[in-house]
Amino acid sequence: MPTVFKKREIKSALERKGFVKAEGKPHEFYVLMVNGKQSAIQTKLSHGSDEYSRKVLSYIRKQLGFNQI
Amino acid sequence: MMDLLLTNSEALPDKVNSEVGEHSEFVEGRWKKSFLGTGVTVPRELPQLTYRPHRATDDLLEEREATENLLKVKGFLPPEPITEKGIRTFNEILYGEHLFKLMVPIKVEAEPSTEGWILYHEDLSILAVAPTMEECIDGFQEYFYVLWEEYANKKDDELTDSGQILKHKLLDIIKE
Repeated sequence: MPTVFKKREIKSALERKGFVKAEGKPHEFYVLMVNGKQSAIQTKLSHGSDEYSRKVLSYIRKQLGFNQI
Repeated sequence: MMDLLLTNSEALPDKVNSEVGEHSEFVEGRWKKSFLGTGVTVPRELPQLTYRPHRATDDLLEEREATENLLKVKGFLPPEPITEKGIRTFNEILYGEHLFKLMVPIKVEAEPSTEGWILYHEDLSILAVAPTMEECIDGFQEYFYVLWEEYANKKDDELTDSGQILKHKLLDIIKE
């Protein structure tokens, strides 16, 4: 398992799982849509980082309620 | 240290009396020679000198005392700097021109990481990561604002059940 994770890989994984990026917003806010409705499962990716450590990824997983991304 | 004894004007040499004038009076007592010097007279009516620290000194002392008292409180964590895992408390959220006063303070987990700092609030599902604590605090407040924008203003029928719960958590926590 790598020690760092690329932001683009995380974004790609989120989109594969049904997350949608908020349109027309300056921030990278991804939310899980269920039957066209917005759920509470969401994450906002930081502008500053292109890579995330394993620790941050574990927080993202916790936030999204996933075992893995 | 040698003391100089002053008794009254008659006990002093004529030279001194002539220097201080006929209306001068003397105070009886022991005085430090180094303080008064030899042959110096002390008028009975000394100016009323009282020691009063400068206001800024008062403030500093009060602030120090208050800080010491706070540190005695069990579980109190000073706001800066945090060098290990701890809790950060937000009494209000400020992002740009938006100020959210909160009904209850938000307590957030703070943890150092290779990126710098992580702030995480599980109930609201807010995660901020930044190189410094200051930037991380800004990031947390920005995230709160984004949630408010994305959920608090949405109609319930645009949200799933969990989305509605998050919306009402946000609305309930904001005082004004």
